[in-house]
Amino acid sequence: MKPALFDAVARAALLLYPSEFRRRFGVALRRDFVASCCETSALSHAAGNLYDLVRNSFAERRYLLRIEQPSSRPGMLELLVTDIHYALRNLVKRPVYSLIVVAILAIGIGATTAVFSLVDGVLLKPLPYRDPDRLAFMWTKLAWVGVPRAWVAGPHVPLLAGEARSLESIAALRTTSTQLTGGGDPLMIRMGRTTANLFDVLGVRPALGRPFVEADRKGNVVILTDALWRSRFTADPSVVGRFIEVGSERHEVIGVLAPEFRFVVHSSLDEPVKVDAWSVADWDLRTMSDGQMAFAALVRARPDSDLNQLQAELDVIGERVDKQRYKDRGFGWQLTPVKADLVGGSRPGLLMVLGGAAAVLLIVCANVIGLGIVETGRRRRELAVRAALGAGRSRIVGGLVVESVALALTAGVLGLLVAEVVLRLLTGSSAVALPRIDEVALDGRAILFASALSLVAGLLIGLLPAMRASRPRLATELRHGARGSTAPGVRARGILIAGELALAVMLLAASGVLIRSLVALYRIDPAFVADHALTADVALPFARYPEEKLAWQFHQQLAERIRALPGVTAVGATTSPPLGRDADQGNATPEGWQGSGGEKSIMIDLIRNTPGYFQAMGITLQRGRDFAWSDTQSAEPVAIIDESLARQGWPNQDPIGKTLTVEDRKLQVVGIVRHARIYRIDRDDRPQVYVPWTQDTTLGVTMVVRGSVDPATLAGPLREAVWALDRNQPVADVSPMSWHVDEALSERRLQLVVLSACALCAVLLSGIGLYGVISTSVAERTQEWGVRAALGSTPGELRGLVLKNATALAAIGIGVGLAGALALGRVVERFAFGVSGRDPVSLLVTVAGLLAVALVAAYVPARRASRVDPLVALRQD
Amino acid sequence: MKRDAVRPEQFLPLTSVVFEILLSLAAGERHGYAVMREVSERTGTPLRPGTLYRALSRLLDEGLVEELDESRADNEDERRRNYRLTALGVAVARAEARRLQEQVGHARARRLLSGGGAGR
Repeated sequence: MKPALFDAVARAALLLYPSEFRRRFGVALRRDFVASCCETSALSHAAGNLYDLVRNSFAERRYLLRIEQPSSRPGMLELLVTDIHYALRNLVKRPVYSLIVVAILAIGIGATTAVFSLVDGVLLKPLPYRDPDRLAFMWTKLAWVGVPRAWVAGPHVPLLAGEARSLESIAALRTTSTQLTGGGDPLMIRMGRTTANLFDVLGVRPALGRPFVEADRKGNVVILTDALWRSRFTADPSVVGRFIEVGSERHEVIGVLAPEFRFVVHSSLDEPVKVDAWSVADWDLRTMSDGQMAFAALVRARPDSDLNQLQAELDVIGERVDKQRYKDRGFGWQLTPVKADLVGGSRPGLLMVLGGAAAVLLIVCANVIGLGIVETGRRRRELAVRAALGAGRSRIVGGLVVESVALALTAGVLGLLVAEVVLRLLTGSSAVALPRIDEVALDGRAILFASALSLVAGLLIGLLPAMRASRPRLATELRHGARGSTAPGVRARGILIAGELALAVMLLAASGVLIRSLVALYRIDPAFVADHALTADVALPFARYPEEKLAWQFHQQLAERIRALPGVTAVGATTSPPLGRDADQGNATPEGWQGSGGEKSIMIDLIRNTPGYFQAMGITLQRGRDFAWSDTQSAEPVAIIDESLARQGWPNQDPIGKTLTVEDRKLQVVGIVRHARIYRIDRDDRPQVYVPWTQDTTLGVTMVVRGSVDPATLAGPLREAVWALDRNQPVADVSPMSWHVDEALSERRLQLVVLSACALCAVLLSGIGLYGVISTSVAERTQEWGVRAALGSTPGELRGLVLKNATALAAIGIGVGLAGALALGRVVERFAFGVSGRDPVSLLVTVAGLLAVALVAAYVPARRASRVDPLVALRQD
Repeated sequence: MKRDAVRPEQFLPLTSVVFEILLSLAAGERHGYAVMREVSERTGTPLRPGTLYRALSRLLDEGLVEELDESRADNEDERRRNYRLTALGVAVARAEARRLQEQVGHARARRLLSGGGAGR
């Protein structure tokens, strides 16, 4: 600990002392304080010194108050400090009240801060690239195909690099699963393959080593991400320059990226894919087919231009290509700024959740204001005395506000702890697939937010009760009893409670819609069966399987082995499992088909399977036959199409036996399957064409095993079967298919959980607040109950009165809330699935629920009213 | 506050902190930090700066202690102020010591402490 720090602390603490004392002893005190603290390295000694210093400041001030002559006018700071002392003393004298307020506020502030951190990490924080406002992902627009966007074709990358003037640079990317050996067990990693200029486009340098250069295309180099470096290479800096084996080929490690570096390649239709390492691909982009859209493209606009201008240029060039190549059907490119692309989809949900948390905070504040009104009501005598002694209204209000701010700041500190816990809970579950979720943390910005929130909350909850309590009729308070002063308080509190109930209604109704939507989502039929299926990624390394024959042998044998396992009913493999890897897109022309708008082909998803896949995945084969191992490259090229393509391509005919041309290959249609939702569970996508894996082989596939037993129990036997054939073959990502479905819905679940939690808090807090108000009102009307009872009212009638009052109050709040929920319905509509944003069922349940809560909250006070002894009540003043 | 005709007995009983400080200064003039160290070592419980200087403030005001400026440098921060007992301060310290002695005497009479001689 540095002496300078001690000195600064001492200086701060000295501010608590009267200025005269400071003048006389300040220097010496500071010096000796520092010297004393530096005597030992124990922090407790320094803490003891600080405590002693602060404690003595109180005593010194008390002493000063006793002997000081009024001639010395205290300065602003003196007043503030005195107020703070007084405020703290008052709070300590009323521990129960203080603790309750701090506790409630801490929860409210903590929850809001946690949600803010979530929103901040995902939406607000700037991305760690150079000039990120000029970075965008570029997608291909295919207006005549029913998809929002598609990947970019190879030749278009150099085309645009040459022709678009506002384009500074463009990088093409793909990701692939590959195997990393050396330094431990074989590990499947996600490899980003890119043109050499990726890091130039991003404007980022590796933390160790060097970025890619053009010459790296011919070599085998790789740059590791920080996460992989730490987990696999134990953060050893000497890894740079070493050789590792990736995909059974030697690669030189030339760099390691910084821990803050985050870049995800976006799959064309939604989920970002995290990359573990980057390498340079030696693609010859110019000679590739411009019909095969296979790359994600990252572009940077020139410094003297911007993305809008670039988009305009792309539109012009796109029109030309459209005319030349696509017969004006609507080909083009569109840019999405990097941030919007990554997180845009999550924005509405996060903002909604933030709204929920803010509502809870408002309710918390309303409750605390209510408590404050009651509390300052009880202190009216004390305040009246102060006013009589000459304190102006502003000083009294100021004093009360200082108290509430002190409470709020304390609550803010505790709230940070609450926020930390909440954040851990929210982000800890690895099933939450929010983009940038790993950037969410309780950092300086969150602390700043919490402090500002505490300050505002403190002012808010202090001002209203303080203004009420310090009204000029204080002087009369010294004469009259305490009665009559809380009645208006009850009205104000009643308004607050009505507001709370309204907010609670809106939150609860929105949660209801979300719950029903999620239920509907889980119920839909995506045309594949997730239950009882296990998936696993198997990527054969080229080095051991240089010929396709070897790969076929492996998989055919593997399929036989697995099929023979007890409990297994089907097994197959595919290149694009549902909710997994993206498929490649291609152009397909059904035989004898005429596009309605003069199009030449239909954009389809191209997927390769082994025999048995459809059965394993639960995709119904409607007509025709499945693939067989005899559909080899020497046999006739065949394809199985889905029902959408069947409907589109051969509307009134039987597609079986007809020819489908896909990217210049003629395939014979041998079967029709249902259209499976492979990208999003709630939407249909492009038509699908399946070809036999043996006729279009790739080394990386996803195995699917269906069994009559729990899929988790098949994991071990699956691995054994693979290793029986090849000891060194890693099997990655072994997980039940249902887990993928859960992950696809995880963002929705997160929204639902958070919003429901907010709603429950809101209901609980409103109920407690209502109880408080009714309780006070009943207590304050004790005489009235006594009179009524004496005049013949039965306990039941008295109870009924109270309950009616409570219901009336609740009804106002619920009514306002209902109107609010209906108005909010439009916003909630965006998140709804299968139900309306103004779902009547949710609204009904909400209203009924809150009425019930109101009755429960009012029950105990109602009983108290009915039990009033008239004699006691009438004697009471 | 009237300084003349002040009897030392008016200040009794002293708080233990004040007495320890007077004891420390009775050995000779010292500056604040030295008093802190000396008292802390002698009694085993630390005397902290806040407590020390507040007590000194009272002692100075009451006239039991006076301040000497020992300027070893022109810099305000370098200057260490030494403190020493005034005649009143010595008298008060002596009075308190006598009071404590009397109390010890009473404790011996009631056999809480072994009295006289060399016994423990």
